[in-house]
Amino acid sequence: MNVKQHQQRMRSLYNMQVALFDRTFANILAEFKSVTVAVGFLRQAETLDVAAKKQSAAFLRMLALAEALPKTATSDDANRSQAFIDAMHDSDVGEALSDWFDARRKAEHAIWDMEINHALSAAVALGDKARANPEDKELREYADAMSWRFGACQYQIHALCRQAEAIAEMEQAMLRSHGLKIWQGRKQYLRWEGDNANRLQVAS
Amino acid sequence: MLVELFEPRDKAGTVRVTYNDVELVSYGFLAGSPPRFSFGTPNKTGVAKVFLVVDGVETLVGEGNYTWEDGVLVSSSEKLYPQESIISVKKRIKQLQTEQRAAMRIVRSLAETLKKQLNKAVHPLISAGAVSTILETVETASSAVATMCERVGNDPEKMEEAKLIAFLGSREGEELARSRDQMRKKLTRAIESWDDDRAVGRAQVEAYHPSSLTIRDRSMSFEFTALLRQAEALDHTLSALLDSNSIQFWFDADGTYNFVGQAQE
Repeated sequence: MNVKQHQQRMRSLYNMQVALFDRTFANILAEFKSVTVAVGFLRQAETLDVAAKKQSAAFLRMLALAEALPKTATSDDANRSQAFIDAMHDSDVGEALSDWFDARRKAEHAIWDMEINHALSAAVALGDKARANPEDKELREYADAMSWRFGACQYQIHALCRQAEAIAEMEQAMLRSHGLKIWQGRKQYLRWEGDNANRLQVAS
Repeated sequence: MLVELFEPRDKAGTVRVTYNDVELVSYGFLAGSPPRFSFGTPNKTGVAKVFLVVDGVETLVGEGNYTWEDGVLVSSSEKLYPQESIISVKKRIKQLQTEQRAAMRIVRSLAETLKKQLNKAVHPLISAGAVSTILETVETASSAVATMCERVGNDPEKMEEAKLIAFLGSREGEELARSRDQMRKKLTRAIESWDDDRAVGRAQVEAYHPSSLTIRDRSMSFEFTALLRQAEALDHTLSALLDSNSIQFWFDADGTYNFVGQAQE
């Protein structure tokens, strides 16, 4: 498998991952959109979905740039190539990269929020309500049935978070398969490996 | 009493509230804004009913019960009427199975891609064996869960509780549960050790092996993390499948097998 084939394979894997994330999110939303107590965790899941979509869009802009860069002899050279350095000084690219880092940070925060699982608190709230109204048999049955639903949903929410993380890792891997290594340094300055190497050379 | 509809409505309408079937208050709202308003209820025992009126069609959306004794409110409770029926568990299980199969395909291809790369380049932190182990773990757990769900019929509404309990208490049920649990522990150990090593390990790789590994090879660390995250996501989907089938089991520290409904056996 040559480099090009490898990159294509990664791209198709990435598309599969994004499709699975979308499906998982849509199914959670469809299941609970009419359940009032679920509104809290659905909002959280929506926040993650919005951030993930922005992240994906910004990443694809970045990937298009990476694909357009002239192929250098070794991938390490890509970061040091004049074409890449010129691209990094282009405001469009800078914007795409900032968007990518921003959206990724937002998605990470959404995931941290979702580690405290509100699907279970919704089930607990419903159970408390059913216990407070022992004569309401209908409510009791509803709470019983829903407790399994919420149980399954909390796992799916964790699955959604892990899928989002897997997508973020894959994006990093794909940029590196093009030889690019970019990160956000202190004060959110954009940094890249070639940039660093140039700096070190200047310093010595 | 506070009346709040979480979803903004497509059309304008009115929220009407009656108390003991006598008109109490009504509130108009515009399209696109979720109706929310509060008001005081009479100081006497009764039932407040909330109706949503849109295009002349009236739907009962909720009610509140208030009990007053000697001028003091002693208890109150609300009840909501879901407007749409929720998707059936059977259909939800079908969705989860599709998600599980899609996740399995991704894990498998990710593992294969990584193994192909590892054939060509040596990575100081990842071995082809480790990748195979993760894939095997996930496949075993998946098939154990699929068999368990198949045995209980994938339709909890039709499944008799006694049958479910009998299956979970059977030798086969216990073996499948044990296999799923062991695989899950194995996966968790792999994830934890990688996450612990990762920060240190990556720094070492980048610092000490820069010439032996090109940036492209270093992408393997990210691919491996993606594989682990995807495997973990799949594991959660397996748990969701079990919960949807009303199956819940756990193991004590000494390895004793427990499951929900055990006492009734």
